[in-house]
Amino acid sequence: MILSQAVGNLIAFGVYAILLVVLAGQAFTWNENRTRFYLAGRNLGLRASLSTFCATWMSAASLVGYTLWFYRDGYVAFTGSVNGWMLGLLALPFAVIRLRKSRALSLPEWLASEYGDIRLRTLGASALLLAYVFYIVTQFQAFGGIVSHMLDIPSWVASLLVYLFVLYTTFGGLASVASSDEMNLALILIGVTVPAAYMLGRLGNPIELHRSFAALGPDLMRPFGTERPTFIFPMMLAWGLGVAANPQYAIRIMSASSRRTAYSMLVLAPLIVGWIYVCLTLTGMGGRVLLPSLAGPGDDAAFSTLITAILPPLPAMLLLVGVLAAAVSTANSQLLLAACSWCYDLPFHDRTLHRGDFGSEERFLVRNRFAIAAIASLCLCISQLPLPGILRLGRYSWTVVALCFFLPMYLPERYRTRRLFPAVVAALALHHLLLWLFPLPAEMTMLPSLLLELTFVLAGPERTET
Amino acid sequence: MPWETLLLDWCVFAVLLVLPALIVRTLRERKRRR
Repeated sequence: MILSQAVGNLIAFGVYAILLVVLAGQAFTWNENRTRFYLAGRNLGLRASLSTFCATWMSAASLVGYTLWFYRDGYVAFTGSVNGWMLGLLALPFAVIRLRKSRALSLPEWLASEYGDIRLRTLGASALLLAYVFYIVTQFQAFGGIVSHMLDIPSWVASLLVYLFVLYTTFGGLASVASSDEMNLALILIGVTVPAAYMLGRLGNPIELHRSFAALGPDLMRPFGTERPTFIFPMMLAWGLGVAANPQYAIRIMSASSRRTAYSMLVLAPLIVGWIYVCLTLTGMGGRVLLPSLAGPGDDAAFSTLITAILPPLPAMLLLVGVLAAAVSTANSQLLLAACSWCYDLPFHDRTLHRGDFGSEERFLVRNRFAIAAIASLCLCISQLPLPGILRLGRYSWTVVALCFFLPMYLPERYRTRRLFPAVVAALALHHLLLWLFPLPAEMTMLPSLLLELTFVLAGPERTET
Repeated sequence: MPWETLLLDWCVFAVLLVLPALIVRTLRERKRRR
């Protein structure tokens, strides 16, 4: 990398840091309570809700992972990843009324109050904490890996950069996360649009670009590539169910200022997320045409090699800042939920401790900030360990979250009186048994486990009120 | 572009972009009628 480009990237990071401090800092308030901290006082308007929903959706791992998957295997990535993930958006409107009716501050709390079983809160919070720790680790790793290759700095320095941004924005609670996400989404949009426009400018219109791409190999244009549909369809379904059950989207439904805002957010989000995927598709496609073979020790190194080889310095810098914004926006949202699980849902004694009392509320929030710092520091340390299977572990923990939350969120009203806890435990047991017995990805074993959970709920007895 | 890519990728994608709006409209109308 030439020196001027490295200096340009560093200046871009500096400007990002200043803007982040200013924007997130505005959302800090003195008279805070847990409703403001976890749910921004249930008062997020459409712009803030939409920005934080879409910015949280686009993680650094998915920006990098999807672009590289498309680059390598073509349209199979679009079928599995884009359409699979967006499938989850179809379910979310059905959860709006039931989530907003409750006064719960977290999804595990909602689960326990809705199904009258406190054990569900502990189980849900533990799964959520585990999943988000691994997911934050992958955000740190993805960004650290890319920047260390691009700027020729140690990976831990780059990860530390994201860690500091994430820590600062999360300390202010959801209001600060949402406020910084408005900027993050704008940067992600610019970061993906400019490289896509550059590709079209250089390689012709989308039809010509497709023609050049198809000439590289017929499998690249097939919706299942070299995979079988029986592998891709269940994968799509599992990812869709994972999105629909993801607590970070449920929280954005709960924190919207009104039901109308929540619905509008869910109507507009696919258009923004869809635009980002289209741009990444064009970039991945153009990248393959310009650079047909790519060697790199890992995804992060391959991605940095790709963008520095195919893009001029300015679009490459914008894409890099977009990846940083994606990493920060996803990790801070997950960190807040992980801290909420740790401090609010998991303590075993008196979970509504001192609610409403200003002094104890202050102490509770200080405890939350300590938890945020501790979880983020743990993730930073794990991200520096040589753990090649960490991404697989992240995907596994994700399926555990889906098993805990999907059915409870979407079961029809009349089944609310059923005993859910044994059903979730049975599903988790089958999931782990299948994973142990067969060399299948976690997304595959999740589907029969979910089916078992449904059978247990439908055939199981009514719960006895205590 | 092969027809199956057009159908399974781009047509499904287009449907996924607009379907949430249709679902929301249906849900809100049903709520209003109640």
